[in-house]
Amino acid sequence: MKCGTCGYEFDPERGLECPRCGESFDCTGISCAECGACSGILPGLGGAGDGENT
Amino acid sequence: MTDATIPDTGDADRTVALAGCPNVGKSVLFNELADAYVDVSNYPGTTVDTTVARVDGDALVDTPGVYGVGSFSEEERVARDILLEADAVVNVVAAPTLQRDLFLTLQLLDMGIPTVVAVNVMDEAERDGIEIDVDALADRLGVPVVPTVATEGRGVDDLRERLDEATAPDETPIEEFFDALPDDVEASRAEQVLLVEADEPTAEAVRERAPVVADGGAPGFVGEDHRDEVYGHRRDRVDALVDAVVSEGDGPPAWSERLDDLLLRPLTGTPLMVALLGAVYYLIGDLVAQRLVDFLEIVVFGEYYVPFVESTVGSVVPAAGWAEPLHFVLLNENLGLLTVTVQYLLGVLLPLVVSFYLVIGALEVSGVLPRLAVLTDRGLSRIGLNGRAIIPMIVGLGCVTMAVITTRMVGSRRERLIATALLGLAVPCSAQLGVILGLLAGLGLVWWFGYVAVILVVFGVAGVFLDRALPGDGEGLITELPRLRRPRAGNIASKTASRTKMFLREAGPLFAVTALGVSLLDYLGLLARIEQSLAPLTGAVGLPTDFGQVVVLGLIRRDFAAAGMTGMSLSAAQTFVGLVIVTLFVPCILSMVMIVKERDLTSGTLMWVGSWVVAFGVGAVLAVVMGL
Repeated sequence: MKCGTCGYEFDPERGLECPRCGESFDCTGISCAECGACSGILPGLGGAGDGENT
Repeated sequence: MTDATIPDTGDADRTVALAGCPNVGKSVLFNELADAYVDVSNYPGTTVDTTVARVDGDALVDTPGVYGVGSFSEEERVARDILLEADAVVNVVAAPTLQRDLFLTLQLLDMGIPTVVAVNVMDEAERDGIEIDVDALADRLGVPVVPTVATEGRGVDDLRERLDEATAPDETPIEEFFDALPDDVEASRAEQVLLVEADEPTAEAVRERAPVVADGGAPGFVGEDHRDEVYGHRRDRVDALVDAVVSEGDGPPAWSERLDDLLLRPLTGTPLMVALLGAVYYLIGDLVAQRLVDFLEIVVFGEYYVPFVESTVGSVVPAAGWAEPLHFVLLNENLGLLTVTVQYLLGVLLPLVVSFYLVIGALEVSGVLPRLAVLTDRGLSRIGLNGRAIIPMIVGLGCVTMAVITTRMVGSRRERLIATALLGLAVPCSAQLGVILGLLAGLGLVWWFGYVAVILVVFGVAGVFLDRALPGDGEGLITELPRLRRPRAGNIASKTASRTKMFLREAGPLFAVTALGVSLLDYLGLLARIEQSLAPLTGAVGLPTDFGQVVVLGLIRRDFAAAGMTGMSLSAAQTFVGLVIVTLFVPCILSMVMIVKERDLTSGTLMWVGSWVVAFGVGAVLAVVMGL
C-alpha cells in the first residue's frame, strides 16, 4: 500500500507502519482496497474487496 | 546521476546542503542562516527548486523537502543528487515529529555524509510537553545536534558556528546489509547504501562505471524486498533512538486539536469556513474598500493629487499643438499615465492587494488555508485531481504564476494539465480578489457568496469535463497537513512585505506600459474601434460597450481589469457579471508564459482560447438569468 504521508509503497502484510516515515495506519483510517493486508488470511473481511470497511 | 539541476556554487569553500522532511521549517532556517528573507510557505513541499545562499564563505543549498534519500519522486531525485555532491549537510528535523524525521538523519549518517542536525520547532515541542534530550541525541548519533526555533532566530548563530563540526560515524549498523552486494562493486559508502535500498539510478550509475559486477544482468543489485528490510531495520533504530531521548509530559494544549477536529469535519468545518469567508469580506470589503479606498480615491487623489498634477503638468505640457498627444497620454480622464493610472495603482490596487496579502498570509501561517482545501478534497478527487493538487490551488490564491510552477508536485502529467487549466481558468489571484472584494463590498454580502458559488461551480464543471475528456485515471491522495499554529505577526508582515514588493515591482511598470498603450489606442481612436468590435461580446453579457476596455486590460492582468471596472457606472447585476467574466478570463501575461513553459504551446493556447469561451459563456448565462 502507498503511505499517505510520504508516498512510499510498502507491503502492509509486514505491519501497518510505513517503514520510511513511521506513519501508523489502522483499519478505521484506510479502506481494504488501499491495503489488502488481511486479504490472504480473511478474504471476507473487506466486504469482497469493495474497499469498504465492515 | 539524473539531469536534475545542481546549483552553481561558484568559488565557495564548501557546499553545505540543507535537507529535511517537508514542513520542518527548512525554508525559514535557510533564510535565517543566509540573513535574507525569501517568501516562506506553510504548506508541505513548497520547495520544488533549489536555492543557493552564502554562509561564511560556504555555499548553502536548499533542497526540496523529502522523507528519505531515494528516487521515488522528482523532488527526491533532485535532493539525492545534491546530497551526494555536498561536502556537508545541515539536516533539519522538527521536534514534534522527530520519530518521522530521524529516518532521513540515520540514512544520511549511514551514507557517511558529514552532518549537523538542527532540531527545529523546539518551542512547539515545549508547549506540547515533549522533552528532547539533545545531548543524548548527539551522543547516540555521533554528530553535533543544535536545538533551534527558526521563526524566532533561536539557535541559528549556534548552528552557523557548528557547521564546521559536521561529521558522520565511521561505521553504522547499515553495513551488515552490504554483504548482499558483490564483493568487487566499485561504489562509495553513500552509493552502497543506496544500492542495498534498491535505488535504480544508483545501480545504473555504478553499472556504467563497471559493467560486469552484477550477477546475471539483473536490473538492480538487490530486490525491492531488500529495501523494505533495510528500511524496517532503520525504522527500528529510529524508534529505539526516540524512546531513549524523547519523553512526553502532559500532552499538547487541547485548543489546536479541538479546532483541528472542528475544521476538518464537514458538518462543523463548512459553517466555520463560511463564517471565515464572511469575516474576510467585511474586513476587506468594508474596512479597506469602503473606508480606506474611498478616502484615497475621493480625498487624496480626487481633491489633491489629480488637480495638482493636472495643473502642474498642464502648465508645462499644453493640450494643443505638438504637445497635445503627450498631454492626452499623461492626463486623459480614462487612463492618464500620471493621473488615473497612479490613482488605480496606489489608491485602489495597492491597499486592496496588501490587505488581501495580510489575510492570505494569516490563513497560511496559521494552517487554516490547507484545511479549507481539505474540506473540498472529496470534490477534487471527483474532478480527477489528488490531494496534492490542493497546494497549487492554495498557492494560486496568492499568485497563479507561482502556482503553475508548483503543479510539478501534482502526480501525473494528466493531473498537472488539469490543475494548470483550472488555475488559469477559475482560481483568482489575491491581487484580483482584493479588487473584486472591494467592488462587491458596495453591493452586499449576498453578492460575495453568489460570486464564490459561481466560481466554485465553474471550477467543478470544468474539472469534471477535463477529467472525462483527458485519457487516463487520477492517482491516489498523498497529502499532509501542517499543524494549526497561532499566526505570528512578524511572519505575516514579512510575507506581506515580500509579496507587496514583488507586486509593485511587477505590476507597477506593467500597468504603466498598459496604460500608455491603452491611452495611445484611445488617442488614435483605435480603442473605440476595439470596443466596437467587442460590442457583440459585451452586449451578449449585458454590459456596455466600454467594458471592452476592461477586456483589453484583462489581457495583461486580471486585477487590472477588475480595477478598470471601478471607474464604470454599472448596476449591481452588471458589476457581478463583469467580475465573474474578469475572474474566468485569460490568465495574466506572466502566468501564460509560465503555463507554456511548464506545459506546452498547444495546451497554453487551448487554455487561453478556452478562457474566452468559458468567461463569456458563463457571463451570457448569468446575463440571461439576471435579466440583463
